[in-house]
Amino acid sequence: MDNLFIIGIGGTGMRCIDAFTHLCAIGMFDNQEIDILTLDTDTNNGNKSKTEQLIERYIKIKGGEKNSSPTNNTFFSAKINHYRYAPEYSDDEKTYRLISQQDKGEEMIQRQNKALSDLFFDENVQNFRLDHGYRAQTHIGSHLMYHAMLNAMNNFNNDDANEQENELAEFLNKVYRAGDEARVFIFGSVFGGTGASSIPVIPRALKDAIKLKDKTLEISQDTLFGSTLLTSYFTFNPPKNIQLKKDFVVADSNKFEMNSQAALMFYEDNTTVQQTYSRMYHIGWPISFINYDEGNKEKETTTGGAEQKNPAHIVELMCACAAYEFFNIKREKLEGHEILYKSIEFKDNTYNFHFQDFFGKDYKKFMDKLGAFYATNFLIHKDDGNIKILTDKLAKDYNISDYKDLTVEVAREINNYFKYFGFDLDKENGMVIQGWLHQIQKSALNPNFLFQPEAYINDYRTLRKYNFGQLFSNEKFHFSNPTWYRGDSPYSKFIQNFNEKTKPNEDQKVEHLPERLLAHIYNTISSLHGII
Amino acid sequence: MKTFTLSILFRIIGGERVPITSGNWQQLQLEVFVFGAIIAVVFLLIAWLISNSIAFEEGKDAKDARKRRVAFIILGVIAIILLFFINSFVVTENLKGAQEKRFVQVNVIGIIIDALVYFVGGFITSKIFKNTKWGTIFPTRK
Repeated sequence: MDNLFIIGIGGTGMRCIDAFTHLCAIGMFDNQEIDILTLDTDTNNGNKSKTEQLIERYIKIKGGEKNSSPTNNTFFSAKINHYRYAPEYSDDEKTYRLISQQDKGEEMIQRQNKALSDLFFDENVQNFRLDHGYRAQTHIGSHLMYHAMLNAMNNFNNDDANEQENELAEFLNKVYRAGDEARVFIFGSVFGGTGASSIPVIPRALKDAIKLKDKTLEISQDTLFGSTLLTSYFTFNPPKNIQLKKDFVVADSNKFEMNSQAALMFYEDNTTVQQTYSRMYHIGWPISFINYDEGNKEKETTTGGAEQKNPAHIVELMCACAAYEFFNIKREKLEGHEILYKSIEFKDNTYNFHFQDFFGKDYKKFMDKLGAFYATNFLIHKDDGNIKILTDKLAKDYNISDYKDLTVEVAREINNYFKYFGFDLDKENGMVIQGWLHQIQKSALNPNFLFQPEAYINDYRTLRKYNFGQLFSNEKFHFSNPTWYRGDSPYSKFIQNFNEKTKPNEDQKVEHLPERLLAHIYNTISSLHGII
Repeated sequence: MKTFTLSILFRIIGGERVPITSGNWQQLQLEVFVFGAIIAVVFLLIAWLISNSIAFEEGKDAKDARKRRVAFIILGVIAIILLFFINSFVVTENLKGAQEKRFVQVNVIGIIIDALVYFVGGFITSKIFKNTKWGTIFPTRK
């Protein structure tokens, strides 16, 4: 089995990692150990912190990074190891001018350095603050990201590395140790800043950085690299003159399509890219771009920072599915260089997504796992959004005391994971807080996205009462059809089937209590759906 | 092989006056005991049906297990009262003098059999089927 590595770069890369983590959570990566590197220039970026929080929550549910191991045919089956790296741009080294040290040395050298920099980069580009990323300036971004990674490795060699530089070094070491069994998949956009800057240089940077540790070390020639070529799919308010004067350079979403086009031309032609990447997945969204500043025309363009927390989009799920394909395809099929794409049925001004569109022949597994995971989200909400209520009740009234020792802390992590995945119910204000899956459905512009439209309804009372035993449009997979005179609610059906027969078996390899509980829940719902 | 029937008891319950002699007194006694057990089993079945019709409830304050327990106890009490009434007002009507007095003891034993079969049977089956709705009547609290 190959060693799997994911690198998510920039804001879009982070959201793709969100989608990927959710695929791991629903159980699409059984028996796998996956090392994930979150890489961003904007250390305080809202998307980055949200993603890192999500991964940390995943790891806690699994029982911690050191204690956990991969499991089989259950939720949270992949073991995830998380590494973080962000070039240090928040201190004095805020601009390219400062980092390149143009103003140091003799006057003659300073003049020459400046002349060289001016040859490649505009004055504004050299002077904008880098702590909010590369702001769609990929020419300078590639240069700086490569420099930052090698610099981090130098610091590591000199015992002067900070925590994140150590994590990067550890990640690199793992890629190196994986030898010819490494598969590295990179998430990022081709139209923005950090991701677009980094995708072309990351494989090279990894190879050169490991050599800095020891000249004899080399990342295996057989290491497979894959990436997404994700073109523009969102917009935001264009920058105003006042902001441009203040910040020098601000990303303009009106140029994203042009950026995408230029990037695609580059990727198609560039021989280095062709030699490095085995597979590139061209993913895009041609209709109705989501506007992150909708209803707020006067808002300044968000350049980054904690404020940048964008909703999920279906293209990010497609990127995560691309990684699934890349990780599961036979090595022989990954020889050479290929750029892949597929089309989705477009009818009545909307896309008709089917489970097959995401996972091809493995669609039943996806259907089963996603359905069970989303049903668990509903199940938890039936017990006031707290899985601890369920486990307590099982022990107190239903003779199942296996899970009574679930701690409040782990229960909270499970509750929050599911709420972030699907939806949360704000009891006080009677509101539905849309989670990742609801945001995906909204972006897909199709109310019938994979499940029944009622499963996504944005009304507190209706969603609270929703019969989650009827998630799928195909009645064959319904498990609760109560009438006024007979039949049980889906919750009741679940408890009825949560018994010895559905207890986790040895093949599932679940050890920790939360893992056993989640495997038991998965087995129960999966048997009720009867998809596989 | 001799088959056992509740012929005397059923004829009495059916309104027929059956003369009880020292020859069939033993038979009547046995029939009353068996009838007590049968009533218990019938009521156990009713309790099981009712228990299955009560859905598992959502939320922290779910009362479904308690409802099943209450239904089980009420049905058990009804079974006892029913047997007591049948014995006291239907069977005793058919008896006279000393037989009537002796039947009080038979009635009590019949009721004890009824109660034992119902509650002990309920308890044992609840433990056997502990992961079903029936199992929630006597939960094992570890």
